[in-house]
Amino acid sequence: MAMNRRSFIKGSSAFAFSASIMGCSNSSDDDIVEEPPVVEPPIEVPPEESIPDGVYHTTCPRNCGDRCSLMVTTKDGVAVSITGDTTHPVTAGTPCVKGHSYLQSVYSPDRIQQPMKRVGPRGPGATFEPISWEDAYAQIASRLNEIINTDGGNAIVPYSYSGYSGISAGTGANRFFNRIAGRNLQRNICASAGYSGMSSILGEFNGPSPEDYANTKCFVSWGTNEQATNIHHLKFINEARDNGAKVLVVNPARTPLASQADIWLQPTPGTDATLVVGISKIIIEENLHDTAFIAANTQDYDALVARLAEFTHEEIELETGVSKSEYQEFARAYAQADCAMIRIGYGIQRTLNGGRMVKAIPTIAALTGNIGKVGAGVVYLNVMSGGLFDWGYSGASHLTPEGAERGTVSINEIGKFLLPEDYQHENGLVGPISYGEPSDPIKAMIVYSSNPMAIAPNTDLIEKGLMRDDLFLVGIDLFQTDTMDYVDYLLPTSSYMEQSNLIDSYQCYYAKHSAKAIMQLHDSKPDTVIFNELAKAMGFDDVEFDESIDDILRNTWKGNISYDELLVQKWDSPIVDYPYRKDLVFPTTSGKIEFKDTSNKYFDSEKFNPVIDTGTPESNEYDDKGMTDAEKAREFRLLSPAHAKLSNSQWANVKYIAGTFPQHTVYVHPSDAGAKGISDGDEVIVTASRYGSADVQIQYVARVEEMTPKGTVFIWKNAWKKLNENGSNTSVNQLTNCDLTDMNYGSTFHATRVDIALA
Amino acid sequence: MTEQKVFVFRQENCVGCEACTVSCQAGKDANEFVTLRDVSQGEKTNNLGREVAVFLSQSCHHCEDPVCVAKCPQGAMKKREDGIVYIDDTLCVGCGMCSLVCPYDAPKIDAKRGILSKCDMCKDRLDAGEKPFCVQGCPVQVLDVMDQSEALSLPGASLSGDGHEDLGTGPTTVFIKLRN
Repeated sequence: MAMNRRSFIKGSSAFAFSASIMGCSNSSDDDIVEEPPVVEPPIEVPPEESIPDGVYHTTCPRNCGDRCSLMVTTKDGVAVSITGDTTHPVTAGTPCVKGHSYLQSVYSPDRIQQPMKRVGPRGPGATFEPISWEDAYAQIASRLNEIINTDGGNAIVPYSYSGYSGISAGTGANRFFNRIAGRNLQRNICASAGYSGMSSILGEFNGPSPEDYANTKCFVSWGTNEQATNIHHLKFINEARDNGAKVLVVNPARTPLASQADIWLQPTPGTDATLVVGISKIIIEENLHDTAFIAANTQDYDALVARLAEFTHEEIELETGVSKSEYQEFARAYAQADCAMIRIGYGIQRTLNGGRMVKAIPTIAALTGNIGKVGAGVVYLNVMSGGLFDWGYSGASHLTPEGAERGTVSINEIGKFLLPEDYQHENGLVGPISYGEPSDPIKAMIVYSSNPMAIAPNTDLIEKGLMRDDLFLVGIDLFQTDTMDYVDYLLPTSSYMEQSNLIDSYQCYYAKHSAKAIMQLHDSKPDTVIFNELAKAMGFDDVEFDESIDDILRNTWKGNISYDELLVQKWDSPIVDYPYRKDLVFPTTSGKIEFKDTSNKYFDSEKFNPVIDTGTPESNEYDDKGMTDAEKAREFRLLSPAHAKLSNSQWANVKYIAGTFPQHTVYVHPSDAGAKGISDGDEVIVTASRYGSADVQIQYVARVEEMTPKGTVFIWKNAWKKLNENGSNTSVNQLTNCDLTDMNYGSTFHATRVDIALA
Repeated sequence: MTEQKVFVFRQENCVGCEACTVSCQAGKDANEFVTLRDVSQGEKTNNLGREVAVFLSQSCHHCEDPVCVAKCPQGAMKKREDGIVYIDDTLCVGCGMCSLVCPYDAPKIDAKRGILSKCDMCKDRLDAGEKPFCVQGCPVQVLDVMDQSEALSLPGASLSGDGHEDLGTGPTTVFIKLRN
């Protein structure tokens, strides 16, 4: 082994590794809960005097489908320890690295402790002064009512995502925005393109449970990084391995599991569909396919065979950067296993051809009959547990006044829809735009459960909107994030331990309760309480704004057991016929797996090949979901997936996490670094061509490592600008693409190309 | 005679997330940036000829011949009957000799405390029948603690791993390797 202790980089500051190209720290919802309807209660019952000391079952509400069950022990009203619930089937006895520092987050001295009003200019360095809740509500309500009277509720938009998932936090806001008939926010920043891609061939994107990974004889990790996303699944994968399973990884980034895999294919980013063509060709050429399964359970096999015949192995090798011998070995290992399981990550889809790549992958399961049996299947994201909640009740969409006209904007286009009314676009349009069309101006935005200046694409464009004097901004957060520097009013929210919650997993099958373990800290309030009280200040007297969080939870629950039983049992699961899809009846039009999709339901089958489309952001024309010519001219593809120590932008500022990993760092392949004269530790400038800016630049530190193939660089996603150690106040999402995916309006962070040079 | 207690580390499954490091810090309410267990990344050429990452999680190795104990001028570094090497905080004056001589950089200068800090295998938790914070806190379950003879009898047990070897002090950590 060509390594000794000296080759190790010592110390956590030098820590490195990886992420998959995609591991997004998942994100829930997207489509599924397209804006979990809002519901609202007005004022929470006056806080209890105290909460008895004890051990409370809580559920992590951050953006991860594992949904850790965490036991919080309190003493004298203070949470003194947090450990995993050993009885939970998936998350077991421990949280991830982030969860270990939960108490440091909850009790951080940096928590926003009281309502604040901005008294200086917007932006970095903004100054605020304290204001009472009463005054803050009165002033915010006055301004919002003024906007409603002048421009209508449609001029007010929420901006939120996954900072605090579940029923508790989102209900107040959803009811509030329904009541004022605010602009709808399509929250498709994460998985949406994959929903469509999966559904195009299988009719669904749900699949087997993580516990079933332990039963497989071949585990395929495709475009995910288990270390950063769903780390608890690794123990099942390793269990399968100990029982003889092979582990196969497909990822342009060197994830830890890629390093440990039996076979690791490292395609050029964006070429996964072509790689599927290669694997499928081998399966058929070597007669490894299951003809009986194909005959009984698939449709348009002939069309698939014809499509595969359009490619030679030489072309596939050239396009993907993967040799035939490598994908041949992969195809054999996969097809010859007694049962094989594919997990597709959330990240692979976050690019202009994301839907098409995800659509292609299940092809190999259909060819080999690896579906509908123990230890087999294809899973992307499991939303079944959300079926145990009455989202309609919590959202209370009936609150929207009849006849109200509510437009919709994409969360990925926040930069475009917030633009000043006199903004001149290159294509001749003027002012804010949405989905490529002119859009009515937004006059007010309330940001909660999110930090767009860190997590959204093209933050320079977003800043143009946030700096508008005529944009009224309210922020609700735990911390003074990059985004909170722009708000007019800053309201302190309560952490998840300070309120109860109901929350669905989106990988596991569990819907869970989370107890209020400690009293609200400082002068904070839960989001739902804030929105309820704001609604009252605005003059709304609907009973929905009088409902307490506990009553909302009780009334939203519709599981198999009573709510009171849930409080004891802690979680519940929907009834799922298992092995997953064992009846081999698929929710497609034909009831079979459909190799060819001309329904035009998910994509335009005239534009994209209805069997397997191999277009990439670099090969497609801009109008057909390619990059701009300026983007294509940049030398390197940039991947920016999730780091294990962050959930999107959360934890970046927390003790034991902050400053312990290479966050504002760009990983450069040694060959590329050599060509550029870049050495480990050099300060470098990374430049992109973004919408609204021909040259946008960030300053990062270079790390020379084989994290990616040559020609691709790598940066951990969602860093805060203000935490950039070199003081440049720059971060990765200034560079990333804010166009929308080929399917379902998703984000395209990875469809970004950059140049890199020494600073 | 109580048997030597040792860490068991299944390196081939470690993904380098540092949950062990942070679990330890949080559990012991450590000062910021004081780590009693560290994770580092190395590279190696695997059997397919590719450069891949490998992770090493290590704290004090509770050596059989701990040089820190031998060299501490205050007699503050001690080895228990069960082999756990720990610092007697009442005797440590913060001179840093142990940190200087330890080939694994296990004792850490803790400026805020003014003395050294080092992994004590969570001896108080072990005495109470609990696992150390790092062991309990690993979501991939790659760490454990057990008696030395039991650990060495495990399939794939070895006293060396990627990036780790005996540097003369008899480190007791047992590495498990079951795959090629």
